[in-house]
Amino acid sequence: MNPTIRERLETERTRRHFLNDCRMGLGAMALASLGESASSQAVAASAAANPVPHFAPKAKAVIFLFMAGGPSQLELFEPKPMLNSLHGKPTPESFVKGKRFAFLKNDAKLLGSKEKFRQYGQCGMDLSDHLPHHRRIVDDLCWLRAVKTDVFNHGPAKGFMNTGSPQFGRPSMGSWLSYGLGAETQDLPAFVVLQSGPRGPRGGAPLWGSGFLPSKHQGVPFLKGETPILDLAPPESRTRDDEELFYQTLGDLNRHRLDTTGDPEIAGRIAAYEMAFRMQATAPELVDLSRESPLTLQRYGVEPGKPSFATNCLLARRMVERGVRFVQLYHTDWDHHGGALDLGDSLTKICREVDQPTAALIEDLKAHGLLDSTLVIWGGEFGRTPMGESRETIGRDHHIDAFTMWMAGGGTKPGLLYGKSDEIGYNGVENVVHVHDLHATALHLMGLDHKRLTYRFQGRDYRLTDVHGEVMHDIIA
Amino acid sequence: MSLRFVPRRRRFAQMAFSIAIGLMCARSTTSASDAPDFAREVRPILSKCVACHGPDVQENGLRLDTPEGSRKLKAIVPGSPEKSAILLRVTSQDPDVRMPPPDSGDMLPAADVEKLRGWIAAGAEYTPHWAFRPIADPPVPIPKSGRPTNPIDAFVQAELDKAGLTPSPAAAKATQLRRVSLDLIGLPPTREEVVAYLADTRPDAYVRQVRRLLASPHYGERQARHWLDLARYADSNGYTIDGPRSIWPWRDWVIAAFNQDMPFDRFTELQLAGDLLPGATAEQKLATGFHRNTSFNEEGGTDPVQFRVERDVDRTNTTGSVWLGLTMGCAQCHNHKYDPISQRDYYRLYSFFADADEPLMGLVSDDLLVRRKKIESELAARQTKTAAVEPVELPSDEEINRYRFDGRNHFRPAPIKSAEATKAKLTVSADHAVLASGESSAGETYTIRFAAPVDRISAVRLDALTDPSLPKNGPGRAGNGNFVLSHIVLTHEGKSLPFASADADIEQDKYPVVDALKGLPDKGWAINPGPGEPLNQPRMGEFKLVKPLEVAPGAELTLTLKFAEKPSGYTLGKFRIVIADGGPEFLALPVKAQKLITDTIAPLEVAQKQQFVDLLNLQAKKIDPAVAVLRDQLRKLDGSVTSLVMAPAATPRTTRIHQRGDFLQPGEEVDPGTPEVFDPKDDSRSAGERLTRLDLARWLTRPDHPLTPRVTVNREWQKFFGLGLVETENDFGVQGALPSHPALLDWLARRFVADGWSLKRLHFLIVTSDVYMRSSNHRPDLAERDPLNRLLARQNRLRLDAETIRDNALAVSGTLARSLGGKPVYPPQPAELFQFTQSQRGWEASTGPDRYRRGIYTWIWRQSRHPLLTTFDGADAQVACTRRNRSNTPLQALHLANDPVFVELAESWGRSVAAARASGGDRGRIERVYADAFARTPDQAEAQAVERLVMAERAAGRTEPQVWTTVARLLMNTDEFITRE
Repeated sequence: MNPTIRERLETERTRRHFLNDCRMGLGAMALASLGESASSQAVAASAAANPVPHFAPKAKAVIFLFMAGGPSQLELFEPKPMLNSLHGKPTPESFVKGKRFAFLKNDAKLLGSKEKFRQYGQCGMDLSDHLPHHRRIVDDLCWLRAVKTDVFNHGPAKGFMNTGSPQFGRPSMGSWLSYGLGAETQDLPAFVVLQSGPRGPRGGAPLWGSGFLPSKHQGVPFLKGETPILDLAPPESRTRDDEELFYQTLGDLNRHRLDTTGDPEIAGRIAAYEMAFRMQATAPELVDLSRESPLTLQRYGVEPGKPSFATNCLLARRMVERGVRFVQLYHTDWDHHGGALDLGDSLTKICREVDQPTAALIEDLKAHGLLDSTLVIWGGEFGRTPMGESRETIGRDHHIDAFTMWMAGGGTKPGLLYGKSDEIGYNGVENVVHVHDLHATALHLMGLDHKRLTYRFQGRDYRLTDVHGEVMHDIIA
Repeated sequence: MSLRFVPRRRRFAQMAFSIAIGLMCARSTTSASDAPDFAREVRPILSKCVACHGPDVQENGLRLDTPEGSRKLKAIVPGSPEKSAILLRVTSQDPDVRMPPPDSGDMLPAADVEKLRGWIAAGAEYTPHWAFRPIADPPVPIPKSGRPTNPIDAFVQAELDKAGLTPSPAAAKATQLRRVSLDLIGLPPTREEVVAYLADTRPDAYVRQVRRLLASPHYGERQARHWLDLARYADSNGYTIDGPRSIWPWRDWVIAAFNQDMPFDRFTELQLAGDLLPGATAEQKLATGFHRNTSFNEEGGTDPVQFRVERDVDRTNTTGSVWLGLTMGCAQCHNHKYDPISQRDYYRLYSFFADADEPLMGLVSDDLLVRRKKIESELAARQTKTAAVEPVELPSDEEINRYRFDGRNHFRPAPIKSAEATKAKLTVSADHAVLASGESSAGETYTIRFAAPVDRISAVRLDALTDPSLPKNGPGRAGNGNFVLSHIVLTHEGKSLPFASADADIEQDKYPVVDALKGLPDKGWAINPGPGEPLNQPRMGEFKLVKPLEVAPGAELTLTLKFAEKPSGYTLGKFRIVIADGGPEFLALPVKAQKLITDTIAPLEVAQKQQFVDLLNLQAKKIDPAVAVLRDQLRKLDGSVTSLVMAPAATPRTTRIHQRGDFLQPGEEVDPGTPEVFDPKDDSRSAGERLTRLDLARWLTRPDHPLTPRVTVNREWQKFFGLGLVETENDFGVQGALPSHPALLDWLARRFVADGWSLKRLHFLIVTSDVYMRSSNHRPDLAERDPLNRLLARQNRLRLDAETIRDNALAVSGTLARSLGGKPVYPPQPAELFQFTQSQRGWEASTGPDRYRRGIYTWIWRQSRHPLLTTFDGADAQVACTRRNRSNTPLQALHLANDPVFVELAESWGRSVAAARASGGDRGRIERVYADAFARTPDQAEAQAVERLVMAERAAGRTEPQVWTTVARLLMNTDEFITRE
């Protein structure tokens, strides 16, 4: 037995050195493990190299705070005195002619907003009392006040906001970025999805799917709890040391097979197992907030051990710090039709869940010097109608013609108010931003030309922006 | 219309492209023509002209899309570029002369001008694209080394000879067996099969194995899974709600069809139009499920027309890519830019599908038939006793929808202000549900104060709900989940409001809901439906007020629920109070009928409509209750197994071109028809008759069709080599890749048709070729000269598909359940999966053999597919998947290493290895696991590596089954385990 144990310790030592040296890129690691085959080396090296952006990027990472369900711009951001004065009146026909809605009929009555608005910051952005913490960051944000989308049901609209298409099955923005830019870290996935609120977003996995792009570009859902990735934890009773030896033996067998067959795919497989083994350490470390200061936790409103949007915001900062390319946070449920979800208590509650952590995230990114290189996007799949929907309590239906989103950091102009909707908040009348434009601009900030970032599938070069989209140079600093 | 090209960005794509060019040049030197290829290089240039000089508009009478048109005005003079006006135009500096007009912003790059010049000089032939030309009848070449037995080898060798490459040697016998086994049936050979095969020295030993595999029922399973990829098969509806659907009988039909080697032309006919065959049988109708695999949006507030359009668009695109290998989708919004498919062609094809209805079909098995006969005769006897049954008119969809609207708009959950009980503890959740815990005692009384959600109250509905905290999920708190509500009282401002009537969707024998109005201590409403029916379901009781109450919204009311003294403990576990504010039409319906129409937003099936009518008649006492019960039984029997199918609509639907692809902008009306460019002249159909899906199917499978046979054999080839002879298996259009072996492709296509469209014959031919049986090891000389192995000097190593990875592990670990067909099953999966979905799907892992069935039988929720499928590039069930990706990711590593499914299989395998009587100690056992896993013996280095691990595991104090479980897990994680060598 003795020689074996000695041998085991010996290999462990070299192994630990090997696996812990994260600064060595994947390519270097694969090279170190590959022996002499020149072709295998070349392939491994090229597998690790990131694609080159089209031009110098302003941002390196994106955090998309997805307000699932569609927040009401009229209760949060857009005071409309005219709408209030027309409260209870039918909507002028010129607005609704030929329009389709999810639940409303065309004779729906206008609904004034009960909220009190004031202007804040240098930029003078309107905010209702629902978002007190946003007052501190209004001047850091680039406000898009007339965003427009194409489809009015949740599933298709979420698909549209994520993939540029209402049909499911296309690659999502995070996948495109992973495909176009590669990863900044070899220890974590390039595209991570987080969820808070009572349920998952309508639409599910296709929203962060890679569509026809290779599945390594798909979003990896981070789960609540200590083991954030599906199947991250080794089987019961296996210690890290046990697993180290296991992975080493596996690597030996795979390398041996590589020598026999000469197939560079095996080099890729070896590298994938090495990354998996590293992730078993890095991912739990990432979600372990015990080393964040109490003050930080307090600023975000994080209650240790309790999953929340606040926790996810803090995780988002930690991910961006560690090189994750695209972090998407879904928070449900903003679908305030009236009824169980209304514009009274339900809205108050969800705003409270979101307001403070959002402001804390922006401030924290700034404090860490990350805001300049991180594009933050806030918004839902659509907004809500100026007309009221009369369920047992009042609410609003889905509205696609003008709603509010904001971007921050990553090369956007801080404190810019961009776009305007008409007096009742129905249509955009100035600087309308279509979802395709939003995508084009986000890609641009990341150093990618949305017209050149293509993937050939079924005989067609597909883009995130389909055949549309204009970069909004006006909002770029 | 913009005609700009979108340049490809990826280095990889460019690499593939340059290689294709390289191969092309190698060939073109022999065919001695350097002229630009018309379809590939020249037509895209001319397509910039055709907006003004094409089929629709002909400025100056000139059109450049036909040879005749182009000769006008000497625009193009074949052989004489200098006399051709077009060249003068595209090169002129004079803005009045130059074409395209300067203000269009388009200008031909010099390279394009040179291509035009070269093409005109060579004779300006409008050569059709290769794939649209008739399939050639090439002679089988005779390579230098002599004529091989299998013609495939002759074609491949001829190209290798040209390139000066030598083929790799044959793979080891055992490798060949594992390869052909995984490819044909998706399962590895057993250890015994390998031993027997290696001992078989007969010259036809391999061929015998191939015959065995082709005859295996597992062949159908493996081949069907490929077809399911194309069909976008799933067991749920997709989009946001993603409700379950039953279409697995269609899946079983497909498996059976492959096992029978149904000719592909017949198969096509049934998939697309089985329902339209004269006297179509149930099985033939069942086959039409192919195009019912589209997603279906059940979300509230959707426009039904919009999503029907999306389904037909999906059907059109899928048909285009599966049979024609064409990117039809491009023509949804505009004429195809490269291929001769017009937008009109697109909607003509679309119109075939728009003409179909989308019904649900009941399927009856033999034993059910016997029961059915019995009920039918009872029913007949009953009905003759009573008056003859009049044929009833079924309600229209519109009528049902009116009811639904009424129901939806007049029911509001009551916001609870307080909930108190004598002894139990009541908690209220955000969705206004009340959950009881603590004591459940005799004569318990709940007092619920709530705010009137509306200003008029005509009825109170009590929704009894299930909850995991309740016995058997409730809704009651008795041991079986039942309850007895003996008194329900509604009070407002101290006055009790009398109820006129009570109705429920279920009433237990001797415990009718009306007893809940009486307040007797041992009577009341209970919900046990009796044997054979599930008790633990959400239920509802509806109580109508004598006189509707007008109140201020928000006014406080109190509902008192008193439960029976005897039996004791029969209290309600979870419930919600729902208030109706009118909606008289809906409210007048019996509760069962209310539930029937609101359980789904989909149009009701005919059987459901009949049930609806029965319920109304029952309420009006127009039919004998016993008859209603019998009819219910009959319907349940018929509905016990259903599948989605297509049926011809009574009257064909008008299809109009959707301008810019938008169905809200209808344009010209079109009839069903096939793309004009392919329309054969000798068409036998009678003029003026509206074409059907059957015509479409028969057109697609004409023996002289240029595309279907080529596209099909190419996709079959892909199954055995990883890539088709045409690498773009879903694009045979102008933009697609050229075939690596054009003659072989055509020869195979002809042979396929001549062999009666038999897939088994085609597979036999391919897997018995030398090229298939070669070693897949990489070679340094090939890495430089043919890095993508398009010339097939060697085989390709292919990572197994998602399902096959698990199937293989099931087989190797000895746990595979080999039964065929049936309802989908639920292998274990982590519960965390549903953290990210709207609906929490029940996924109770199957136990017994169902836990170990092949991947094709795993239930597929479109929105939350089993992680095996998402991790290993399973088909996404959204659009037709003609080829799966083969990616290589760390998540795959984690899945194989740690997923409970694979850990469990490693344990089974490890235990059996530890328990096996093996000679030769550890080495003997290691050889055994290698034989199980890879059909080979380990070499010295491999055996030693495993031995070291075995010893380390023992040193760590593990038991023998644990040690060998680790070894099993080790082998399951090697690249070789998930690779077809």
